[in-house]
Amino acid sequence: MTTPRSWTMAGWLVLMVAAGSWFATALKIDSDFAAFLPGGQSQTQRIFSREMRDGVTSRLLLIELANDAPEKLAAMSKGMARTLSESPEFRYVANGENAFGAAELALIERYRYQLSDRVDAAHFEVPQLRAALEERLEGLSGGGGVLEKRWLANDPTGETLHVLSRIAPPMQPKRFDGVWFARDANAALLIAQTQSPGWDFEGQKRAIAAVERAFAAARQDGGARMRYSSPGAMSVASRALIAADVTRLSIASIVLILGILLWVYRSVPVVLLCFLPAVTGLAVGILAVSAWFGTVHGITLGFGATLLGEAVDYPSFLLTQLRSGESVRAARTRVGPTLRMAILTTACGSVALLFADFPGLAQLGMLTMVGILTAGAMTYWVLPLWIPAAMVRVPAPTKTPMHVTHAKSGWRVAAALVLVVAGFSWNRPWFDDDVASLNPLPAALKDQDRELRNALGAPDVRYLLVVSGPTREDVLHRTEEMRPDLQSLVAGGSIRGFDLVSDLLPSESTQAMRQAALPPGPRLRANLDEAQAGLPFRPHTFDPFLADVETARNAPPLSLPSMAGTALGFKAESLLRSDVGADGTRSDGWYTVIPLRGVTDPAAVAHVATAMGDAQVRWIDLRAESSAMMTTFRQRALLYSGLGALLIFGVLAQGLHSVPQAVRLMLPVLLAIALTAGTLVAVGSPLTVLHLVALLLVLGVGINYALFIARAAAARDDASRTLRTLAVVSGTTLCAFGMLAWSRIAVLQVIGLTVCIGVAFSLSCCALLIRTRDTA
Amino acid sequence: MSNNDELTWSCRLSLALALIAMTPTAGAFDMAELMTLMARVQTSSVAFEETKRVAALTAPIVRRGTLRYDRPDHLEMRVETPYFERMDINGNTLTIESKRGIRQVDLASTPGLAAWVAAIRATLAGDRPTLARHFAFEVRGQAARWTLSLLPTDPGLAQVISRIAIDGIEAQISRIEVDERMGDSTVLVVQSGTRAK
Repeated sequence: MTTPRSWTMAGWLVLMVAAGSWFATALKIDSDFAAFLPGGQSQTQRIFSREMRDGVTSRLLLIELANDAPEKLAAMSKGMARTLSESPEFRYVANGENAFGAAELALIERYRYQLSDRVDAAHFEVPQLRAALEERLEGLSGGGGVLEKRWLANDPTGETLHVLSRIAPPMQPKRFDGVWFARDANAALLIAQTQSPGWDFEGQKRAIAAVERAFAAARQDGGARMRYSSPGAMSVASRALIAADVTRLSIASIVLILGILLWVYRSVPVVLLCFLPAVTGLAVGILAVSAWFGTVHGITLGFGATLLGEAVDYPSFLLTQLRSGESVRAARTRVGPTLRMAILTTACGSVALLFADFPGLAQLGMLTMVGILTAGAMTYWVLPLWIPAAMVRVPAPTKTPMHVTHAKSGWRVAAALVLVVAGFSWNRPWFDDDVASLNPLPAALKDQDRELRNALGAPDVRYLLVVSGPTREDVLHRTEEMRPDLQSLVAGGSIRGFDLVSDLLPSESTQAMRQAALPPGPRLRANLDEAQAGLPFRPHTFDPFLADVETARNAPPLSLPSMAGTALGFKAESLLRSDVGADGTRSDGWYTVIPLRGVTDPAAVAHVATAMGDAQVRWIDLRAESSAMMTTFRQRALLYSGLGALLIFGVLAQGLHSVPQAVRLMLPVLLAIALTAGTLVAVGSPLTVLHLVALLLVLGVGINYALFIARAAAARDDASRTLRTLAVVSGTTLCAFGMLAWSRIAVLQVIGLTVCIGVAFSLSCCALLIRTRDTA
Repeated sequence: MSNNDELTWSCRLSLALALIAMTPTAGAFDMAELMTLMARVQTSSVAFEETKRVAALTAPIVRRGTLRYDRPDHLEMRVETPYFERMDINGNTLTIESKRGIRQVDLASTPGLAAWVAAIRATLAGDRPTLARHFAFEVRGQAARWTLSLLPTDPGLAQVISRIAIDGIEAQISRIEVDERMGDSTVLVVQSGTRAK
């Protein structure tokens, strides 16, 4: 025979099995942080977020080998470079051995007349050729003669070497045994560009594993140590740190919560049933998000689990209100309206987030809303069916009635609190939008990154110069025009160096201009004969040169496809990119990034960029830009939370059938939130987005406390039971979030601390200020 | 008596065998001895004439100047004709001064060049480990007239240079010949009348 109890259990089991198999097979967890960036971005913001996600600097892995004899380190560096360059995880690896391989040299040699900025009409006239030949003769006799001969016959004007000197980074580390070493010569250095973009957590993890394997193989049993750094490696490290802390602290807090609940209910099955609504809510919430959005973002999961922490309280709101001998169903009928309102207010608070134009915020809204409603429904309809009254033996409440303060003195205490907090938070910054303060990594790892970056002369990750335009050709042309300005910045010491894509790939018009400047065969031969007169070069020595110039005159332009597969091709492709439109797919232009090395005077560079006076050239300070994005994100989160609060107010007014009563309930909670924020500011922890999420949770639990205190104030006989209820629910919340406050990781610490302070203020404000019509 | 004779003969035989065995050792001049010999020189300064034969040129290039060595690692090559050029190698820094200006090169960054410098400087210094790092070597002749052949093992240098041969008399280098893979060669001959100290 089927009872409501058995069919709800069967239904729940089916749901959980379905959810479990969905999570195991089809759940896609997304780690691309772009979901937390606003949709309607400016072009600068789009380029910025794209470069952060998969730009060339996000793929650079810097490696250092130390703590062994230099000869051994050099051999290790060579071994690792060989292994890694064969690994599918890396696009290229450089350790100083060969700045350019054979394929790259051949490419430069072949296109040298299109690549060299010295090629113009005068370059192949008699006086210039004569000077070049005399220079070659002198070079041949001098110390470097051996090296000069490689290009003597086909390139007497030295274009290949000239192009090489322009595109090889001028600031290279020192070398020992042919590989890069740090200044003090006790650490070998390598750079590797990963195949997967910086945001791709799994790909970065594979790349790092490959580096570790290569190092283990190269080191064998020596004492060498390796350090590495990259944006990807740093995110892998920070995830590992967070995961370790979360595991440790959640185990501790679950043990504490179990302890409290066991002490209260004295029954293992009841305690386990108390966790069911929250767990079911989280599972259904994730199902809903992944069904609606296709994927679930990792950050949504983390924040959502935090917000659903409130649902752990729902069964306690019900069970701790039990009178002796009363069935759970009867208690539900009694407490029902209050419980219903507690659930609906929280759910409404997150509805507003659904309309946010950040996909991440919208996901968070949906996860919380669905999760809370599910958990509420489980508590409201299902738990009373599953828990027989006999199972719950709540200890009799203490007889002391709830201490009732006079309204006036309550407001006086609250006013004093506000004054104290306002006094301490006066004149302090309220918001902190620097992304760095959300970075969970210890300072040592960030210092290591800076150290390696300096040693290798790798591009600065903070500043970017971006040139955009309607076509690729246009962008290249504009970039070529910027060279003199950039050179003057280097000369003036504002930057140490720069990489221009147009040095690797000149615009087609520039290439065509250079080709047009190459004289036809007979004229070049005549010029050469005249220039050679009296010099001891054998006749026909330069025939290969004549042939090469003739070929170059009619050669197709150097293009991205002709560079494909070489290190130069990879570099050009990563610097020159098609812009992605606001909708993420439409291509409406091209842009190039100019990585800058050793920026010492950002203001001077910004000045040059703005002095160019056109919208095509942009100076991006990634830190300022990401702060601006955080500001937008924070403002939106605040706006949608504000809308949520309005909705909560609406639900309260409707449920209590009284606007003034709703104001009386809401005011203490809002005051508690203001006090919490003020306290955080006063202790020197300005508010970030994380604080806002935590305050949203405080709003939810605060309203619950207010509802139950108001209920108790109205029906005196429930006062001692309500005290017990509040002790249990606030106790479990403080345990769970108090543990987080102990975390070494700022991100977790912030959430823990905010919720704990918020719970304390909510309880005291509600107790001090809430009156019913009868007692007011 | 016959016993005595036998004894005498066997003694003579073993003596003769011992002498045969000893002769090459006693008369030969090996790497260790050359290095010890060279290690005694504190400083030397010689005038030289260098002849370069380059396939692309109709006539050899002849340069004259001085070569100076100061223990342990200073080497200076000063060319007076036909163009002025000064190459000063101090430790790991090579400074090239010509009418085109002054250029500094870090030897540790350019293995080929480092090996080429090592051939001359490590020979002058009597520094066998450094020579061994860059070359396979062979010594022939006597202390009074020796030849040191160096075959580059460094891949960078081996690509361009096939062999370096250094001739000497006692602790004095008299001739350096560098043969390149492409057939070109450079012969540096020390002018007589200048001596090591």
